[in-house]
Amino acid sequence: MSAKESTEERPPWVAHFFASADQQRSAANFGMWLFIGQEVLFFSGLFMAYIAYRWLYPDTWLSGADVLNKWLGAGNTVVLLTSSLTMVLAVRELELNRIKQSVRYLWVTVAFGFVFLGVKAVEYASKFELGIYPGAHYEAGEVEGMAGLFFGIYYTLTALHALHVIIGMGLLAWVAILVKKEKVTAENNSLLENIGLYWHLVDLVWIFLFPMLYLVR
Amino acid sequence: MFDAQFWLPESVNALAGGVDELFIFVLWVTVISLALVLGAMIWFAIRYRAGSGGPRGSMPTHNMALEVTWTLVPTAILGVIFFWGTRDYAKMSIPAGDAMEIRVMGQKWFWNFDYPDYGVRLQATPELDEKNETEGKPVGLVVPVDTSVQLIGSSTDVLHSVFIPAFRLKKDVVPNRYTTTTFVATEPGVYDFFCTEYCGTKHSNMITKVTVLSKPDFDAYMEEAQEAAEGPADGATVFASNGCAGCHQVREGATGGLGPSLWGLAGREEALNTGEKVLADDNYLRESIENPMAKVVAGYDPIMPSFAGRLSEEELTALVVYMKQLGPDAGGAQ
Amino acid sequence: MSAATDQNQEPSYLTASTGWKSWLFSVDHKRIGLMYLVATTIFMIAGGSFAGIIRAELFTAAGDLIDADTYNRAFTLHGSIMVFLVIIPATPAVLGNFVLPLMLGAKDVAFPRLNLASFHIYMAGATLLLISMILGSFDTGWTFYTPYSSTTVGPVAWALTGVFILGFSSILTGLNFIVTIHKMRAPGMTWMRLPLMLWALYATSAVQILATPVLAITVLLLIVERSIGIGIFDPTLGGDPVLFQHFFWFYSHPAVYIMILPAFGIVSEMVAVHAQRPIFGYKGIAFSSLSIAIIGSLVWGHHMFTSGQSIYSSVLFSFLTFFVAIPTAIKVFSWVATLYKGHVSYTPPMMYVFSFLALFMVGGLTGVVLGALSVDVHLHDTYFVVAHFHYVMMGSAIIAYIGGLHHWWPKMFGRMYPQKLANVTSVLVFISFNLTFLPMFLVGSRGMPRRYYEYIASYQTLNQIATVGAFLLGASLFVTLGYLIYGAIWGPVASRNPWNGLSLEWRTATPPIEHNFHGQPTVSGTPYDYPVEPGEAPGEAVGVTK
Repeated sequence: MSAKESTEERPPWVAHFFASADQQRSAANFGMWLFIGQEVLFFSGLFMAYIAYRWLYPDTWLSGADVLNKWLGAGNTVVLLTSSLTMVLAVRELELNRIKQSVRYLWVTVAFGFVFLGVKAVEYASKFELGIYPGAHYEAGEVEGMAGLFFGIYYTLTALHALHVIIGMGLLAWVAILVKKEKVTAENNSLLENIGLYWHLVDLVWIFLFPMLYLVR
Repeated sequence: MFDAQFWLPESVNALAGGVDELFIFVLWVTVISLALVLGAMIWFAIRYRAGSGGPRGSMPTHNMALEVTWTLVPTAILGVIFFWGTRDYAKMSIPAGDAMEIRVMGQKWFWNFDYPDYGVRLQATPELDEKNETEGKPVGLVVPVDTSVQLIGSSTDVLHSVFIPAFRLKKDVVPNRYTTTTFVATEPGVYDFFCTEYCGTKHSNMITKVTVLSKPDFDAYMEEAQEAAEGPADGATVFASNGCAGCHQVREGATGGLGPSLWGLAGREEALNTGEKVLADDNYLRESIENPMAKVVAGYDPIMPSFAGRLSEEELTALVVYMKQLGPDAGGAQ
Repeated sequence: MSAATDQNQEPSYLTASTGWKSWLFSVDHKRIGLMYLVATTIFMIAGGSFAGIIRAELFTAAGDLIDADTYNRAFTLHGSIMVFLVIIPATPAVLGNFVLPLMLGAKDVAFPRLNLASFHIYMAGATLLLISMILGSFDTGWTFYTPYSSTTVGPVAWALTGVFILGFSSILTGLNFIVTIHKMRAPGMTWMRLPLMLWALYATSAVQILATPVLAITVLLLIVERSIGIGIFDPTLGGDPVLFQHFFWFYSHPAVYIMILPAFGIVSEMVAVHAQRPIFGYKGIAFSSLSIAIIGSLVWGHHMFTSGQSIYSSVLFSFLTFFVAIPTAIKVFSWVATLYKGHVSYTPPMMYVFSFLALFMVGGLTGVVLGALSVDVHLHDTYFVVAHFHYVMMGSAIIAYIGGLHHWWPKMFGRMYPQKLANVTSVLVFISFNLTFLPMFLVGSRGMPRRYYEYIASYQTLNQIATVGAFLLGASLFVTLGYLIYGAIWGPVASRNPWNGLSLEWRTATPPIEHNFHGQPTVSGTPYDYPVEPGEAPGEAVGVTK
C-alpha cells in the first residue's frame, strides 16, 4: 500500500485516481495548455487563408484595411488587455483568500467582455450601413478588387473570435459563482487558473488579429 | 507479370518515356522486399515455433550493423526512386517553347477543345462522339503525331481532370485559372480520355477519346473544321455539341433527366417553382439558355449552367428553331 | 454474465454496477471503451453495407443496378462513415481507452468525465451524419472538394457539422491520453520502460491534438461558404478552390497516421507477447513513432501532385513522402526480427500479426510507387490509389485492430473465444481481402478512374473478381464478430494472463475490477523482460508486486 494513499495528506477534492493534489493540479494545467495549443491551430488555419489571399490581392487588402476603424479596434485591444489584467488579479485575490475581491474582479472581466462585444456590434452595424457584407453579398463600392473576399475573411475571423469571447464570458461567470460558493478555493484553484488561461488566449488571438486586419500597410 | 504491358496501357507519349521503367523497377523492389521480409517472417515462424527444437540462446534486441544496414539500404533505394520520378516528372511537365497550344475547357459533363492557331473549336460530348464515330470522323481531342502539344486547361464550373492513360498524362482543370500539361504523341490511333476528378452525376460519362492523326490528315481535318465553322449553324448539332442532351430529353414520351424534357415544350404553358405559369415562347426559350436561374421549372433543381457569352447569336437562334421542331406538330426531332 | 473476480471478491468492472444509466454515464475508461466498441462495430457494418452496394454495382461495367446519384452517395457515405466513425476512433477510443490506464498502472485516465464527454460528442457527430443521410444524403465524396461541395444541392451542412463535432471527440481523447501518459505513470516506469503501445498512442494523440483543429476550421469554412458565400473557395469571388485541398489534406494526411500509429503499437505488443520475446529495437520503434508523426505532418501535398500546384511544391512533398517511409520500414524489420529465436505461438493475435505484416508491406510499398512523381501522374485518382489505401487503412489498421481485440478480449470479458475458429477465419479474411483489392491495383494501372459508376468494358473481369472477394470478406468479418460475441458471453472462463504478457494490464484481475488496481503497482523492468515461465508473470491477484 503506497504512503500516498493516507487520508491525512489527501484533501477530499482530489479524485481517487490521482496519487496526490499536486498530480491532479499538474494534470489539469497540462491539459489546459494542450487545449489552448489546439485552439491556436484552429485559428491559424484562418490566419493562413488571410496570408495566402493577402499575397494574391495586396491592393484589395490595403484598401480593405483602410475601411476598418482602427480606433475602435485599438480601443477593443485596450479593453481586452485590461480584462486580462483583471483576470490575473482575480486569481491573485483568491490565492490570498480574498473571495469577495476575487469574485468582483471576475465580474469586472465579464463586463469588459460586454464592452468588447458592444464595440464590435457598433463596428459591424456601421459596416452594414455602408453595404459592406461578406463575400457574395458585398454591395458597397468602397473597396476595389476582391472586396467581398477580404470582408468575408474579416467577418469570419472576428466573428469566430467573438464567439470565443462569449464562451469565455460564460466560463468566467460560472467560475465566479463557484468561487463565491467556495467550491473553488485558494488550495483548489485549478479551475480558476485554467479558465484564466483560456481568457488570456482569447486576448492573445485578438492581439494578433488587430494589427493583421486593421493596421496592414 | 514484370512486363509493362501487363500493368499499363500502351505508351505513346515521347515525354513519358521513363514512367513505365520506373513503375517496373518499383514493382521489382516491392516483390524482392516482400520476398525477403515475408520469407524471413515465415522462416522464423516455423523454425522458432514454440516447442520446436530450434537453437535459441540469448534473444538479441539490438544489432548495430543490421539496424544501420536496414536503414541505409532502403534510404538509398528510396533516393533513387525519388530522383528518377522527379527527373521524369520535370520532363513531362515543362512544355517545349514551340508547342502547339490547345485550350481544354471542362464543363459538367463534356469537354471543349479550342485550337487558337486554327480558330477551330472541337467539342466532345457523348452524343457528338457517337455521331462522329458513325460518320467516320475523328472523335474527341484531335492532335497531330510527333508534334509537341501544350494543353492549357480550365473549367467553367467545378474541378475536372484530364486523364489520358496512353500518354501517362493527367492534370486537373480548375475554374478561373489555367493549368498546363504537355505531350508528344508518337503513334497514330485512338486512345481513351477520361475525366478523373469527381464532378457529380455524370462524372463517369465525361469521357471521350484522343485521336492522333498523321500530320497531313490533321491539317486536312483542321481545314474541314474551319469550313464547317463558317457555315450556318445547325440546331441539332449545336444541341449535341454543347452537352444539352446530358440533362434534357428530346424524344416523345421520354422521362427522367436532370432538366425538363424539351419535347412539345415550345408554345405551351410551363409551371415555375414560384407557382407562376409562363408561356414557353421564343424569348422564354432564349432566356432559359442565357439566364437559366431567372425561371426554374417546378420540380427541378436550379442547376443549369448559363451559356451566356458562350453561344453566338446564330447558334442561339438555331437552338430555338430546333426546339420549336420538337413537338407533335412539327415532325419531331432526329 | 459471469466474470472472474479476484481474491478479495471484488466484482469486475462489468458487474460493479448495473442498469443502462451506469453504462451510459459511466466515467470508467473500460466501460467507455466498450461503448465505443459497440458503436464502432455498428458503424462498420453500416459503412460496409455501402461498400457492398458499390461492389454490387461495379460487378458489371454498365450502370444497371442503381442510378448514378445513388452510387455517388454510396461511395461518399462509405468513405465518410469508415474514416470518421470507424477507423479514426477504433484503436484509440476502443483499445486505447481500455488498455492505456491499465498499462500505465493508473486507476483511470486523467480526465474521466472528459472521456465520457468525448464518447457522447462522438455519438452526437454520428447522429448528425445520420440526419444528413435521412435528409437525402450528400454526394461530394468524403473529401468534399470545392467548388463541387460548395455548390451542390443537398444536406451537406449537416454532414459537415457532424464531422466538426466528431473532431472534438478526437481532440479531447488525444488530450486525455497525453496528460495521462505524462502524469500518471506507475513509479519506476520511465519513458524507456513504457510499453510500445503507449508510445504509439502518445504519438497518435499528439497528431490528434495538432491536426484535427485544422479539419475543424476547414469544415467550418466550407459551411460558411455554403451558407453565406464568403468567397474563400469561390473562384468567381477571387477565392481558390485548390486552397481547400491544402486545408483538407493538412489534416487528412496526418489523419491516416492517427489510423496506423496505434495499429503499429498493437503489433509491437502482440509480436513480443506471442513470441514470448523481448522486442527487437525498442528505441527504434519508439522514436520512429514520433518521427512518423512529425514528418507525416509535412507531406500533405502528395495528394495534390496533379492539382495544378507548382512543380517545386510537388518535388518537396515527394521528397518528404519518401523520407517518412524510412522509420516505417525500420518498424517492420524490427517486428520480423522479434520472431528470431522467439517462441512463436500460432494464436489468433499472432495470425493477425502475420496478416498485418504481409498486407502492410504491400500497402506501404505501393505508397512508395505513388510517391514517385512521374508515376503518380498516371496513377493518381485511379483504382491503384483505392487499392493502396485499402491495404493500409483496412488491411493494416483494421486488421491490427481486430488482432488487438483478439489479444485483449479475454482481459476485457474474462472469457475466451474459440481459437481454432479464429485462426481459420483470420486466414479467410486474409485471402478474401487480397481477392478484393489486388485486382484493383491492376485495373487502376490500366487506367480505370476512381468514383466511376460505370466503366468501359475492358475493366469488367477484374471488377468481378473484386466484387466476389468483397462479399467473402464481409462474410468472414461477420463470422469474426459472431465468435467474438459468443466467446464474450458463453466462452470458457479465461485465466488472468492467458498469453503470459508482462505489461501491467496482465497483472490486474481478468476482467479488471472497477478501479483497476488495489494499490499502486510499481515496475522495475521493461514489459518485455522475457523469458518468463508461463504462470510466473507477476500479478496483483497473486499478491506479488515486482
